[in-house]
Amino acid sequence: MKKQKQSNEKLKHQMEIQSMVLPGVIFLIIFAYLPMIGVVTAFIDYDPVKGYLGSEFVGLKYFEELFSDWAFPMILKNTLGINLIGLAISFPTTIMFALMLNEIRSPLFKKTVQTVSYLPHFVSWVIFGGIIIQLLSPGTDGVINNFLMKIGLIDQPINFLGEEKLFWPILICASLIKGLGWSAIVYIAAIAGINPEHYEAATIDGAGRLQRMWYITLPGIAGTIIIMLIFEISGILNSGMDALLVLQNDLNYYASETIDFYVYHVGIGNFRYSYATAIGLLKSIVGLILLLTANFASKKLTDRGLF
Amino acid sequence: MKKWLHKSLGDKTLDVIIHLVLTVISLVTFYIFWYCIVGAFSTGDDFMNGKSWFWPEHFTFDNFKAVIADSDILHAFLISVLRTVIGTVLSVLFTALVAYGMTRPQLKYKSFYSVFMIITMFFSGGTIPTFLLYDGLGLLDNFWVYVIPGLFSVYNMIIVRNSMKEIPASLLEAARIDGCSEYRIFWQIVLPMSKSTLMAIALFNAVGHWNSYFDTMMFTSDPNLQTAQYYLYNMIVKADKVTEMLNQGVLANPDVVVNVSSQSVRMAAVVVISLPILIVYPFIQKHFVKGVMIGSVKE
Amino acid sequence: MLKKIVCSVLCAVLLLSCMAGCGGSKFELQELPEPITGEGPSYTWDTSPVEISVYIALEGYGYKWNTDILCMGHLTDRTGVTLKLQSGSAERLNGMIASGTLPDIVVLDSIDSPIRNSLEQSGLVWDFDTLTEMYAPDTNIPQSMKTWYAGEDGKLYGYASFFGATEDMEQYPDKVALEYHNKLIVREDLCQKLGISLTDFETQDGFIEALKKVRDAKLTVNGSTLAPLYFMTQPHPLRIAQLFGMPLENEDGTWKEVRFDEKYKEAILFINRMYREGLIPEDAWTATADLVNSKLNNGSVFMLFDKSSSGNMNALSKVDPNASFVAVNPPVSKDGGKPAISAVSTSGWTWLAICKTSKVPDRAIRLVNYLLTEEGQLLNYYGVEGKTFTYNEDGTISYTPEAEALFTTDYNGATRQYGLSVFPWCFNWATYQRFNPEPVTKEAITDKQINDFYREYVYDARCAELVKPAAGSDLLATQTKIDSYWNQQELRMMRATSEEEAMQIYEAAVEAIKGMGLEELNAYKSEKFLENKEKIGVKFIYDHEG
Repeated sequence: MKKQKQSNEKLKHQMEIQSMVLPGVIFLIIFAYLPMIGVVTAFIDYDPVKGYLGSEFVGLKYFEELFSDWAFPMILKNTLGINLIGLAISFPTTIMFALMLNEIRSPLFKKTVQTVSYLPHFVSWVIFGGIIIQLLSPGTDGVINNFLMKIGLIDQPINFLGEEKLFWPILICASLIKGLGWSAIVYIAAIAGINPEHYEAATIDGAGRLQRMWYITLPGIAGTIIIMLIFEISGILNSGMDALLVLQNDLNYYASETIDFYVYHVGIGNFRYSYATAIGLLKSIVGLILLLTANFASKKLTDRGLF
Repeated sequence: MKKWLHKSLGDKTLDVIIHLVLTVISLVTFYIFWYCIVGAFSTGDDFMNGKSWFWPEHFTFDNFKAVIADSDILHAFLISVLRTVIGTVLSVLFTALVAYGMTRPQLKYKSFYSVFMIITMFFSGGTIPTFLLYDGLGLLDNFWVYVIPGLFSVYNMIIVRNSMKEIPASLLEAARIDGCSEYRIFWQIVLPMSKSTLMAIALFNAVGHWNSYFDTMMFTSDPNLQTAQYYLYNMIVKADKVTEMLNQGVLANPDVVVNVSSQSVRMAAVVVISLPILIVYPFIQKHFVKGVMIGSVKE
Repeated sequence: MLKKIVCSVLCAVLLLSCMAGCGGSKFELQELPEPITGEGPSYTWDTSPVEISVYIALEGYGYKWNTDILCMGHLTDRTGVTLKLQSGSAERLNGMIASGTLPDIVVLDSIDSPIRNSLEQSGLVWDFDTLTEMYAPDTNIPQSMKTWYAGEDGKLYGYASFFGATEDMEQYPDKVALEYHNKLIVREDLCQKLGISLTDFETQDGFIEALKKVRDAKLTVNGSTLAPLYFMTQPHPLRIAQLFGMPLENEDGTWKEVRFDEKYKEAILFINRMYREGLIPEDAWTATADLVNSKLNNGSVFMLFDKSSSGNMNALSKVDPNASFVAVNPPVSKDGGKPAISAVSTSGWTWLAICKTSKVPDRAIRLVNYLLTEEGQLLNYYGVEGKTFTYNEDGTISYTPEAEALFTTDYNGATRQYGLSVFPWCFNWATYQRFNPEPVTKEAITDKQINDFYREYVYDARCAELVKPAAGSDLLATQTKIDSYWNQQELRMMRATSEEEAMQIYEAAVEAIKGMGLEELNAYKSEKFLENKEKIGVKFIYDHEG
C-alpha cells in the first residue's frame, strides 16, 4: 500500500518534470527537426519551382565537387588557421579578463570597464568592420597610418587590409575586441555565483590574491570554462561570416576565404542551394563529432561535460 | 613561485598591472566608439578625409537629420522594443523551465533529450525549409515570427542548466519534503537563485533581438512590422545600392548632389540605433552584482 | 551513447519522411478572365479599384504604396490600380516560390538572375504575347526586345527595364545613344599648373611621365595630397584593353577569350607599370564608389579612369570654382588601333513577369501598358505634367520652378515627396535621353563634353552579354571558380614587382584556368554568342575594318 502510494507519487513527480522538459522537445521537433528536411537538398539538384520531390537525385556529387575544388586546401587552411589561433588567443584572454575584472574593488572603475568592453557587441559587424576599415585605411583618412607616419615609424602608408600576412592578426584582434567583454559575461556571471565564504576562508588561511584566483575562482568556474571550450571546439569549422563579409577584399582573398564564405560565393550566390547544403551538412557532421569527442575527453579527464 | 604568491607586495603589483591592462583595453575599445560618435557629428567630407578623428572639424546635425528624416523610424523603434521585451521575457522563462527540468536527477530519458537537443545546434535545413515551415504555421507577416522561433535556445539552456546545478541539492530536497511542487520550487527558489545567469541570458537574448534584421528581411513584408535594425540595414544597403546603380548608369541623374557621405550618416544611424540598449544596459548590469549577494546567503 | 544518437537520428528521419509525404501541387494556377474591349488606350478600359501585389527582389527598394504621394496617387487615379509593394532579397522570392505563394507580379533584380530561367521554364508566368493580345494590344513593347528575349517557343515572358531598344536609337538618332563607362578624365586646371599638355596622355610613356609630375609635385588640395589617379572603382585590365582597342569579338566573328588577347596582356603590364612607379594609391585597389566619389568631389584626384556615365562635377565646382575635368584621348597600344568600347548592358536591368497564379492578369498587363506609355514613363523620372514638369517647345522637359527649387535643395527629399523612381522596373533609359533638355550650366556642359568624348568608339555588345551558363548548372560553378581564381591572379600580376614576374604569374594562371575546365566553358559561351548573333541577325558585333 505504501509502496503503491510511493510509486504513484513517483509517477506524478516524473510527469511533473517531464512536463517541464517536453515543451522544449516539442518546440525543437517543430522548429529545428521539421526544417531539417532541407538536408535532402544536398543529395538532389534542388530547384524551388520543382520542390523537394520533383528535383533530380544526384547522390554524393556535391560532396565530390568540394574535395576536387582548387580552393579546398586554401579554404580549409584559412578556416582552421583563423579559428585555432583565434581560439588559442581569445579563449584564455576572455577568462583572464573576467578574472581581472573580478579583482577590481572600485565599483566605478569596474562598471566603466565592463560597460565600455561590452560596447562593440551592440553594433553589428557591418558597422564595426566599417570602423576598422576606416581606421586602418591606407588613404588620407586612415587614422592609424596618419599616426604612424607622424611619429616617424613609417614613411609610406601600410595597406593593412591589403596584406595577406596581416589579415589573420587583424581579423583575430578585431574579433577579440568585439567579443571580449561580451564573452566574459558568462564567466563573470559564474564567478558571481561562487560562494564568498570560500574566499573568506582562504583569506583567513593567508592566501594571496593570485592564490585565491588560482585555487578558488578558477575551480569555481571550471564547469563553465569546459562547456564553453567544448562549444568552441565544435565550432572550429564555422567562421564569422559577417566579419569576413566586411573585411575581405580582393587583396587579402588568399588569407580570408574560408569554408563558409566559399560556400556563400559559389553556392548561395549562384542559388546553388544543393552545393551549399552539402558543405553545410559535412560541416555539421564534423562539428558534432568534434563535440562528442571533446565531451568524451572532458568527461574522462575532468568528470565534467555537457551531458 | 609559491612564496611570491604570499607576498602582499605581489598583491599590490598585481593590482597595478590589472588596472593598467583594463584601462588600456577600455581606452582602445572606447576610442573605436568615440570615433563613431565623432563621425556622426562630422560633415561627410571631413570624416572621409581623416580630419575628424578626435573631434568634429565642423560640427553638424545633418547626419542625424538624414537618419530620422523618415517618420517610419519611430514605429520601427516601437516594434523593436516590443519584440525585444516580449521575446526576451518569454524566452528566458521557457528556457529556464526546460533547463530546470533537465537538472532533475529523476528525469527519465535525460541523456536522450540531451543528444536530441544538441543535434539541433549543428544541423539546420537552411532558409527555404524554414520559410516553408513558417508559411505553414502562419507566421509569415506576423509579429509572432519575431518571438516564437526564438523561444527556446539549446545553447542558453545548457548554460542555465549548468548554473542551476550549483544550487545545493539539499535546499531543493527540503522544499520537496515540505510538499512543494516542482513548479513552485522552480518559481520560488530556483529562479531567484540563478538570477545572475538568467540576467546574462536575458541580455544575450535582448541584444540578439535588438540587432536582428534577417527575420524581418526574410519573413515579413508588411512595412508595419519593420524593426529599427532592419531600417538601419535598409538604409545602409540602400546607400550602397543607389551608388551601385549610379555606377551602372541606370539610375543616373545629373542633378544628384551628395551632401552627406553615407559613411557619416551610417555613424549617426549606429548611434541612434544603439542608444536604447546602452541606456537599458546599466539596469541589467545591477543584477550581476545582486547575483553575488544572493550567492552569499546560500546554504 | 551511440545507440541514443542512432535512435534520435531515426526519429528525425521518420519525422522528415512524414513531412516529405505531404507535398502535392502547391501552385494554384488561375484561368484567364474574359477579355473586354473599349475605346482609347487599353489601360483606360477598366479603371475599377483593384489591388495588385508586386514583389521586387531588390534589397533597399523599400517603397510603400501611398496615394497621397504625387506619382503613386496619379497612377491610381489613371488606372484604378493600387500596388501592394513588397521588396527584399531574391532568397525570399525563392522561399515564396518554394511555398507556392507568388504575388501577381514578380520583378527580378537582374535579367541574368538564375530565377528567370526557372520561372520561364516552369510555366508559372504568362507570356506577354498572350496577355497583350487579349487584354492590351496597344502595349508598347519593342520588337527588338521580343526578338532578344524570345524563349525556345519564340515567346516573351518578361519585360526588361533599361533595355536598349534599337527602335529608339533609329527613331531618335540625335537623342538616344549607347551609354558607356570607359572614360578617361583629367583635371584641366591642374594640367596647366603642372605644365602638362592634354596630348601628353596619348602615348604610354607620355602618360606615365605626366602622372609622375603629379606624383612629385605633392600638391595639397583641401588639406589632402593630390593623388595622381583613381579608378572607378578598382583597376581592371579589361577596360584599359578596350581603350587600347580590343573588341569582345575575334576578327572572324567568333567569341573572344579576352584574357588571352595581346592587348589585354598589354593592359595588365601597363597597370603594373603605373603600380611600380607608385602612381596608384594603395587604397585604389580596394576602393568603393563612395570613396572615389568623395575624393573626386573634394578635388584631391588628378585623373580618373573609367568614369561612369553618371555622376557629375557639381560638388567639385562648389569646393573649387576653377576646378574642371576634361576627357582626354587614351594612350595608344603598341600595335596602334583606336578604342573599342562596349556599351553599358543593352540587355537591360530588372526583369518583370506576371504570374499565372494571379487572379487579375488582365489588370496587371494593363498596368504595364500604362507604365510604358509616354505618360507612364515620365511618371517614373519627371513626375506629373503641370505639377512637377512642363514640356519645352522642342519637346524636351523641364521641371516646374517649385520642383526645381526642391530638387536643388534636397534631391532625395524631393524624390521621396513626389514618389519619383518608384517604377524603375518598368522604365526605359531612352525616355530620359529623349526628354532631357540641352545643358545650360557650365558644369552640365562639361559633363556632356565628357560623356560624348568617346561616343564614336562605342558599340553594342549585347551578344557578348547573355552567354552565362544556366542557373545551378555545373558550368556556372566552373565559371565562378575560374573567375574568382583569375581575379586573384590578375591582382598579383598588376601588383608584381617586375614585368617578368607579372608575365610569369600570367602564364601560370593561364595554365591553371585551362586545367579548371575553361575549354568546355568557352565552347559553351562561343556557341551562345553565335546563337545570340543569329537571333538578332548580325554577322559582326564590331566593325573590325573601320
